[in-house]
Amino acid sequence: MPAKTEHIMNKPPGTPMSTTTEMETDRAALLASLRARLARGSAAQGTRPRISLCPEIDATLPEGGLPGACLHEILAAEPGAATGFATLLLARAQALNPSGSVLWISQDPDAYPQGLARLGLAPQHLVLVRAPRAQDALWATEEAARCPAVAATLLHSPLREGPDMTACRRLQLAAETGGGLTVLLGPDTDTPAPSPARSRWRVRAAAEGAGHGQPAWELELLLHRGGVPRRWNCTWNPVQDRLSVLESSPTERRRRG
Amino acid sequence: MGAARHLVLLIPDAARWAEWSRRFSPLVGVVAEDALAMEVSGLTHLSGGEEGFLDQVRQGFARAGQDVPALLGGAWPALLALLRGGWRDRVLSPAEQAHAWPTLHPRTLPLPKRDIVTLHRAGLRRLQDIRDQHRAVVTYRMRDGLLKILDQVAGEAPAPIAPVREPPIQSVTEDYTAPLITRPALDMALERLLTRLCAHLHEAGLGARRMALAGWRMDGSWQEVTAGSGLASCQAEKWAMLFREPLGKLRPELGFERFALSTDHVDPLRASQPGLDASTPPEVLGRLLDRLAQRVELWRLQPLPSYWPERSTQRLDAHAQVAPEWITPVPRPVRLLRRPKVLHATATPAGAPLRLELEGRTHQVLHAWGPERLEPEWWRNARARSRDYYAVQLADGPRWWVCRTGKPDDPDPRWYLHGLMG
Repeated sequence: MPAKTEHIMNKPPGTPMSTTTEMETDRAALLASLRARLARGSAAQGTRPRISLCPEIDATLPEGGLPGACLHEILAAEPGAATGFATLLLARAQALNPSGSVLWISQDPDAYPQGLARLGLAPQHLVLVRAPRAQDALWATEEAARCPAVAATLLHSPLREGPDMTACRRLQLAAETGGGLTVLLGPDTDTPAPSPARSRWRVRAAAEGAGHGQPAWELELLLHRGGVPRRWNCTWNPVQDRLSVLESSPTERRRRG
Repeated sequence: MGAARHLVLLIPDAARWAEWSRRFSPLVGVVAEDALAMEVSGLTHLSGGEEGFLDQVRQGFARAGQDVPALLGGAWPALLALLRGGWRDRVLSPAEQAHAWPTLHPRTLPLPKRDIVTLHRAGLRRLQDIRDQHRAVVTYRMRDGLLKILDQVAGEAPAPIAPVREPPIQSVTEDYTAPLITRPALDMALERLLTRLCAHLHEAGLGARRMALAGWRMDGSWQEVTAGSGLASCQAEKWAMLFREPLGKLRPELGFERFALSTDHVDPLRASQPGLDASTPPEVLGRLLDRLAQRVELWRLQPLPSYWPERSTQRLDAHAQVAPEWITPVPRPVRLLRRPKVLHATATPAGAPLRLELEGRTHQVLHAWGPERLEPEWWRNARARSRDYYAVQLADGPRWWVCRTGKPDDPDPRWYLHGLMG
């Protein structure tokens, strides 16, 4: 189809083709309206909360930060490091909503508040929830994610597989309703199930760059909607409250089949 | 002694029937192994007077399969004595009662058999005769308990009833001619009761913290479900939501014929205003925490002034405020294992670990920061051993918080993995 006659819908059918000047004006108007629509779309996205990790990682994420009112998954290749990274996300989400609370839901929550405080999560906002049965834990996570007074929710299942696809979709919807961050922290697998989570990370503990009270992690972004998988080696500095990237590299793509 | 009216009835195994009898009066007590006493002042007008109330109680027990002799009158010790003396199924006015009890034999009183025999042999075969004697003589011959009991029977000494359950602060009840079986019927009944009770609470300026719904079934049994809230509230919708799940635990079977909704824990209501800015009020969080508390356990942590890791935090109710002062001068783990895992370690002579073995896997230690020696709190446990904590960085990445109990030159050092550091 020739480009000139594509989108000229304002003219009633049957009118002769206009002169060159008019078509150019129409095209200019069309481009302007398209640009305005794109700007509106990104402005709507701009009002959604975003969690900033650090400048280097934010630059590679499609929205300039981790989207706030969504579900994210963390696969714990090493439990301490994954808990630390999850706590960092919770702390940053709570900073966006200063009057909000952070809920930590697990079969037997063993979070140590003095350690969490070093990652930026103030323990006075923390509520621990003990849910021995999986369906109770899921229900509690969904209720908490839906509540606007909760800034962030963490569902920690160290032993069993995370919730299935339907449950994850419900959690995603609940997070969008409530506006708070929802993080699923589960065991590491080589074949994670497809999930509607906005992003999925795998966190390992790294030895280089680590100091006393300065953890070093290897963060691997496995998938992100609209983003590219990548791997970073970072350290966390509790005094400066800063995550610094030592090295970043693209992950090799695994071919399916 | 005042104008309190009581109803006393004789029933074998009274303790079993005590809670069920709360359908008639909120204050029921077991006064003897086979007798119940309930205070009924102010209740009888709803049943058409005292005669009607007495009939109702007897019919209620008859439907449950018990034929109970009952008396309604003033002081309950006199009524109990009259029941034992053979009186039954009457409403006694104060004058009638005052004339009736002096004619009783002492065996109607709760006295040991020996005393009854002594009184009988002494010729005191009516309570009036005992009263006619000089008090000091009776006290000298018998024990003081006899006079106290007589004073209670006469209504001159107080005789409080120890209730089987504390009467609630506020309570509303409803009787149904057609028993309620289905869940929608229960929901509607609860809604009606909640509207009434919340209206009472609102008028009194109180908010309920705990409500109990008791239902009496047709076959003479009863069930109760409770719901609690962290924030005092008198809003019927909120309580209806809190009761949604507990209501499922009720088993109607043949149907409920009577419901009583009561509250025993209230707080004065403060008019709460929503914040002027857009921040969500703590009410929203409170409601969420109440909803979660129905199914799962939740708490907050408060710092305790103790450096011992297991005792450095204290659990608080999730609605409580926690102090914002958490001091962490030294790096601490993000997760503290509840059951520390046993390690086997090879250590330098100074005590720092070189190699750690956990559950069969060996890990090389790159660096160990420490030792941080924590002496146990001797006033709690005199036999505890001191601990040296090390934050170790393993060659393959993880950072652990390990401790060795005992001193470095101890012949039997034990190593544990106590926490995982971020």
